[in-house]
Amino acid sequence: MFANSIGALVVGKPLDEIGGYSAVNGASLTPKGFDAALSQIRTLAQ
Amino acid sequence: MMQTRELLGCKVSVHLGEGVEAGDLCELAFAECERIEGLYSRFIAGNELARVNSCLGDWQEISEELAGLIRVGLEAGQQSFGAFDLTVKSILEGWGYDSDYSLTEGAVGSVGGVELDGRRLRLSAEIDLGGLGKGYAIDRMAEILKDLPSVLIDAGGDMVGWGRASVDQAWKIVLEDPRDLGRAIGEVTFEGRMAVGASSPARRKWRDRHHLVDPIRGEPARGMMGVFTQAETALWADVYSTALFVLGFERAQQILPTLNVEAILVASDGRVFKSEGFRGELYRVADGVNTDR
Repeated sequence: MFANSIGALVVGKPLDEIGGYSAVNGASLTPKGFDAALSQIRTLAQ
Repeated sequence: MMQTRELLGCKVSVHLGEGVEAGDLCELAFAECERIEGLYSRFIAGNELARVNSCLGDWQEISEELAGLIRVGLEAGQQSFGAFDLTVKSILEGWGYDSDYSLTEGAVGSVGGVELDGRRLRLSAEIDLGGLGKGYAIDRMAEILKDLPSVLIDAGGDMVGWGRASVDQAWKIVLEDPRDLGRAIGEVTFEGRMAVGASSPARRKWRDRHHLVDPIRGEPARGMMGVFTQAETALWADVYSTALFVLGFERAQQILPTLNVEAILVASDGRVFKSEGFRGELYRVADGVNTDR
């Protein structure tokens, strides 16, 4: 290790402009039950 | 070729390199993942995890496999000065992240003690293996598929891969921008066998809550927007991504050199830190200072 970077701001690229990747590493997709409950909360909040 | 199943509360995919024939190995790998979820998910009633959680205060005999997972959780808790804690279940459920996804506030939960003596366990608070179960499941799938030349197992935040997508193309994954899920902040090209993890509340968030708990404050962890990790196994990549997220941007940087992991940290204010050994690139930075050197 160590260490690069302090405080710099990364600018991302749109996914549709990036070619040749197999998968996206990041927040996992959520279960249907969670999505439905979240949708209900948003509806009630409106 | 790719096969996908809905498991572990998300989608799990197995990508095979060009020309790789897996026979029934993919089915066996998915079956193993389903077995692990069946035993250790807190969202499934009546499993081994539910049984141990129902006997708070009593010493109880548990399986060697569960003991091993709890041992990892305890070790991670020590390494991260309590940032990783298996006993956050009641806090999450108090916020409504329960088996019914009520997402409504209930009783205030708290963390507690875990005593493990070989295969004997005593709990003072219920445990949740959400901080390591997915990584473990991916490792077990990888073990079943290990004789295939080129595989990428993808559960979103947790991945293991080896070999190449094709003769001309290595496995390449992009690092999702936690501020904008339609963008990526960088990419990783797999060299040899690699295990990666990620933690971000970008999808599992509701009201002012999300699923990454600061066990010391009993609140959603603040200060970090996303963490990407690389470790020897998906299990430890998963564990460390959670622990580093909870620690926050500055504290995580202090502790990183003591851990067997490489990481990219994205702070809530957009600052990014990349450890020197992290294999991959950040695309570019706004202020013209390239941090990826």
